[in-house]
Amino acid sequence: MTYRIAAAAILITLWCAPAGAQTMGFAEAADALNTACGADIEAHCQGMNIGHDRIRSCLASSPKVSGQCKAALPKIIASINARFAAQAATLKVCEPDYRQLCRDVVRGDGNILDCLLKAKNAVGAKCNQALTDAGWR
Amino acid sequence: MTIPALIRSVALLAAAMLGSHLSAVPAAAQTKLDGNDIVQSLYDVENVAEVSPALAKLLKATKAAVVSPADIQTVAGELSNHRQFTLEVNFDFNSSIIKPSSYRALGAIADAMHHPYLEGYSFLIVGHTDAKGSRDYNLRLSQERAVAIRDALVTTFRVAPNRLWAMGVGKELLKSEGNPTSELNRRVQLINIGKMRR
Repeated sequence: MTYRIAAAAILITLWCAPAGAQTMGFAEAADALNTACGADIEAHCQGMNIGHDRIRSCLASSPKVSGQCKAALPKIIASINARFAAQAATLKVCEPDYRQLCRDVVRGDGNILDCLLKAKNAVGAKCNQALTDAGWR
Repeated sequence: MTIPALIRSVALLAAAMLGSHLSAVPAAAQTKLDGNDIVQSLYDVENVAEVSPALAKLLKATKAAVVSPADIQTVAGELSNHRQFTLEVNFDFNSSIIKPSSYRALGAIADAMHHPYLEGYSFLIVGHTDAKGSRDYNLRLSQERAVAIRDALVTTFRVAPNRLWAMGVGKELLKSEGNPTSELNRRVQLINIGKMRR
């Protein structure tokens, strides 16, 4: 019974990204990994460090890993990948808005981001969503 | 920069310079660490961090070897003037294996590294130990740990490798000399070192 509640809580946590965001930040995703799989990692992946795909490999291949971790892991990975994709896409998606509203702004130190955030009422919906999904609002 | 952020950065600088364990910057383990906390502390638009020849040479040395106590002291003052953030990362005993309870901290660092405010800057990850054990042992262990953090950031979280440096300083720069074995000393610093690429 408690496992189902825990699993539900984890899934809710995973999908409770900030309002309007389609993606979750790396801190939240990593936190979800600890919540869902921390005990499994300590029990079944000893000597393996996060990085170079080691933990994912270990969890995916170990038969002793808990059901809650096995269920959560692909969602966590998808979250992380979604955030990468959102950030990579933002430059392209926001280019027309940049050209129209922030043309004179010199890139660096978040200057363009600041300009787009300030001009959010004039910025297009796609760019506004991209900025939210990238975690930069 | 907003007034609260300016006040905070002055407080940070003062605390860093005083080396006081009553720093205005809380070790970020006790509350849920967020990338924005880190961005605020590392953002350096008004004071572009320069790297002296001595520090540049030392940084390059970190790629191949553990640095010496003397070299650490040479750059300590300079590093304390840079924008920085201190956090707790937990490792297995005598090991550079990062505990899952610290995965969130890694993710928060990654969020900060990927934020446009920090785009273009490079960062030094500094690992510190407490005073238990020999100088040599702690220098080596803290170097391995700083490297482990860097590896996770570069691979799992796709931070560009040329923006991240890793250095272990063992017990050479204790945060609390009055309590040398205290956990206050076991910490990781993230230091904005400007545009120097690895």
